[in-house]
Amino acid sequence: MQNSRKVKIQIRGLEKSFGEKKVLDGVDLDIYEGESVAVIGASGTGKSVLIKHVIGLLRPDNGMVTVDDINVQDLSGYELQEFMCRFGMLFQGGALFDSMSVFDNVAFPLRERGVRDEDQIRKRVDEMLNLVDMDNSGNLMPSDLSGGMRKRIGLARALAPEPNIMLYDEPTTGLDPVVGGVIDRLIVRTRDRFHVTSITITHDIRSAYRIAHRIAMLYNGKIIKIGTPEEMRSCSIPEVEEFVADRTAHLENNLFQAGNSGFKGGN
Amino acid sequence: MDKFLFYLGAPILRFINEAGRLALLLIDTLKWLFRRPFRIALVFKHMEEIGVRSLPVVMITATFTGGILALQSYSSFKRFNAESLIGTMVAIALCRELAPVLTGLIVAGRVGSAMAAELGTMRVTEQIDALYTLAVNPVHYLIVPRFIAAFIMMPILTMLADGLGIGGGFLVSTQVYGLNPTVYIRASFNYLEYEDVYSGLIKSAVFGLTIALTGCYKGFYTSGGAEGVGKATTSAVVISMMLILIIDYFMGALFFSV
Ligand SMILES: Nc1ncnc2c1ncn2[C@@H]1O[C@H](COP(=O)(O)OP(=O)(O)OP(=O)(O)O)[C@@H](O)[C@H]1O
Ligand SMILES: [Mg+2]
Repeated sequence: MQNSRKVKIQIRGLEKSFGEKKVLDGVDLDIYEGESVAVIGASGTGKSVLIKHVIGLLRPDNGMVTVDDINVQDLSGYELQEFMCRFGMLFQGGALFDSMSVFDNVAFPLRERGVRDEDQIRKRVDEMLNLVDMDNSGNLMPSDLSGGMRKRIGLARALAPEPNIMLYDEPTTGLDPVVGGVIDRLIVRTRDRFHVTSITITHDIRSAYRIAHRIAMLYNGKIIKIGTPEEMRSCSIPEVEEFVADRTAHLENNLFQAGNSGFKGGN
Repeated sequence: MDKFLFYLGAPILRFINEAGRLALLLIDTLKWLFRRPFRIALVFKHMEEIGVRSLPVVMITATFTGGILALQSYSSFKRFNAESLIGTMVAIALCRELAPVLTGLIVAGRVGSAMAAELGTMRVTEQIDALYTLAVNPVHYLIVPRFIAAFIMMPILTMLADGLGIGGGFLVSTQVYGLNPTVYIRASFNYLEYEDVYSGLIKSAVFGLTIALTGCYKGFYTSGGAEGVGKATTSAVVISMMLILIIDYFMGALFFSV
């Protein structure tokens, strides 16, 4: 993107193995302030592992991650806690606290950051629930919610304390297209309105086109291609082409044909 | 030969690895122990949970243990015409050993397992990671309050077990064997020294810390989904029970050698 812009997150030569298995093998990635980057890649290629390094949940074997020129690996204790206030993260499964109601889940980061005024907390929580289209769900427990609802509450909770950087781990996977679209719009809105820098992990190429300034493809532990949605569409690397091609259309076609032949067989 | 060394070495390495991680978690817990904010409400919540979970079992166990102690000692003490000393025997055995150890084993089974299951579930559903990303230290939020609660509740439960056990012995001795109640009570408390009571209570507090630490450790480092949570729960109970018996021996040796 524009080189004049400040680099917010810098990933250099990141390597990580679990036992024998090398998951990340030298990932380099720069993310600029206010930019939204989508990371795409097949299941199990280490996308979740990659963002867990950005937020310091995992330590790299080699290489480094800096955020605002601070090396994430150097921090510990209070400093790290302070530093985490810049981040918000949406987990793949929502990661709501089972022991708390929806309201308390969303209020949790506010209370932990020292907001004592219950009226103010209520107002903010209601605002966030409204944002994710889950009004009046405050009294429900996480176990009462569907997967998509959990994700939306997880999003409300992550956004409540106004983070500077958002990490989304598969925000739309497992949602119906309508809710998926709602989440995509939310991500775009947070990006544009609050100038939030974000990394979004997704399998859903259409969602990536909607929300990202740039898209990066992770393959075999490396970023094999990064570019704007247009650049990705016209990219000729086979792995990227395969991923970027509208796979659902292809699938639907197959199913249709299978259905047809089945019908004929019945005759 | 290589194979032999491998089979010998692997468990030892695993043990050292586990012990090291446990020690690191203990250090981390102690480091966060006195940091703000103090989560008093959470400590009370966990104290209540420990109480609710183990109170009925502790009460029944203590009463019947006191009773069976009196029952068993009656026949042997009678041979020396020393029935009047049954109360002393029951009180000292309970306060020094039986009440703290039995309470410890019960709490390990009821509370240690619950801690491992709760934290394990939070781990595999990424709730612990979520805490961390919400700028809340998981050790501070999850482990420290459980640690304090167990430290406070174990001596309280043990005191209760002391009292109920002595009561059980009293009932059996006076109702079944018809010993004189006044004599029995005097025998129970005249020879009981402070040291007998507080050594047991100190031990029980240490057991409390052991149970909380093992349960939290096993839960905190759970991996492998729901099955992993099951394994963590079982091994938390087994490990803390063994640790209680081992620690009990060494603390006993320490207290009564001086
Ligand atoms: N804590 C861990 N311990 C051991 N192996 C792990 C750990 N975390 C991830 N892995 C392994 O790393 C690989 C990449 O995992 P990751 O969760 O990053 O995949 P992903 O790209 O996010 O896939 P998905 O799209 O299915 O979420 C997997 O093979 C997984 O088994
Ligand atoms: Mg993932």
